[in-house]
Amino acid sequence: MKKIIVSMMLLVLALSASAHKRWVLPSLFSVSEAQWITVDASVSNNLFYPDRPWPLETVRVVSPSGENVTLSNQSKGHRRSTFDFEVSQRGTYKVVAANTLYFVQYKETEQGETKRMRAASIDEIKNKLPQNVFSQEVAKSDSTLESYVTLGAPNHQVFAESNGGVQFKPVTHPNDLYQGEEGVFGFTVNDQPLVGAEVIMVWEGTRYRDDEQVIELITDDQGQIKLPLSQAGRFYLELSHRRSVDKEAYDKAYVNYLGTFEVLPQ
Amino acid sequence: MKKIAILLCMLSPLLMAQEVTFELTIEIPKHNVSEYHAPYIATWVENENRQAVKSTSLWYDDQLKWLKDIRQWWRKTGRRQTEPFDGITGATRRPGTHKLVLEPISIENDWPPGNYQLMVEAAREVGGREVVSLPFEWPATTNQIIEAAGNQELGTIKLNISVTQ
Repeated sequence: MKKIIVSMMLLVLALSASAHKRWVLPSLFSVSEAQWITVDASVSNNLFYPDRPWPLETVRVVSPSGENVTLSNQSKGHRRSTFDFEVSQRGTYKVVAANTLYFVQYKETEQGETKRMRAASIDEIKNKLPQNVFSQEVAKSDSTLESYVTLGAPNHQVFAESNGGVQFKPVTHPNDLYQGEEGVFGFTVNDQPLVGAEVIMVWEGTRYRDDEQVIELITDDQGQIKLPLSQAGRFYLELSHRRSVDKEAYDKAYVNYLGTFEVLPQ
Repeated sequence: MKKIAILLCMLSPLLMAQEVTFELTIEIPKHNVSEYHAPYIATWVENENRQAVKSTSLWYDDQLKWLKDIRQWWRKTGRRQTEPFDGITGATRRPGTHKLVLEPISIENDWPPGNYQLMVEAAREVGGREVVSLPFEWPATTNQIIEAAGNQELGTIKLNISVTQ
């Protein structure tokens, strides 16, 4: 029973429970002039009302030509973290926070209590874990959080770059989403389509409606989902998936992808 | 002599090439508002699949920042352009009726015959946005006037198509 509770807790941690949505929100998604973009980063239940800040250490902004862009005015407030970045090249920029964590549970003896540990790498687990534990289970969690900003015409250059976890492979460019059309997004892991992954889509403004109106989608055999773009506005996307494990270094593997997008009126 | 005759035959289609002139009359309505900015107005030609085949004009005040608000023009053609923008460009116009003569289009261009639309889109800072379409057939063979009207940001739009040798 305890084991079940622990693994459920791990699952919750790994999948970053959908009740608390972690997001980045750029001030503009598509622009026609080189300019500063300001970005809020927060965890909240209501979209997109900041509630708790999250640390910006893992955040990068990648330019259309693949360089890392300087983050300016980074600050952590009580409700959100925030930073600015300058959009100067034509094409699509990516805001990304990619993170890999390992969750370990182990028992030192058969009768001993189950202990838990978090580590950033397999080496860290080896260093931290006591010698000769009775049992251990390692879960790897790859988390990718992204949003995209385009100056001029969108391009796909930033989607070629790999973070190790879920790769966003859009068929419809994320800065080319229009009300009444269909958006098609694809996802891969290790260059393979991520098939059968659960994705939720939530329109902004949850605070102003009784029902959160979560749209549940599942990636098809090409690792793709079709987004119903029934309205203009911003939405949140969250993909969570437990992968089959083919490595001996860990017993379970979870991947997730969180994204913030904008749909424009026609 | 024969040689010259052949040469003339080859040249004749070029000499005969027809041009089509698109002359627009655009009415910009007056708005009684405390903060008024003249609208940015763009025009372009769309084919039956609603794809832009030619970007024909842009009235703007050199502020690229607002070009994305001419939403359809921006999506269909503007975002792939850099200054100088395609077609006839100029400063924004105040309320009133304005003439806009587009660059003449050769009848022998690469547009497949079919139904086309000349699109006129206006976007006003701290105001609204509106798009009006003027359908025509290509290739145009006769002089014609097409009229359409907007409700908010555009008044009566007249498109005078004239075919010249």
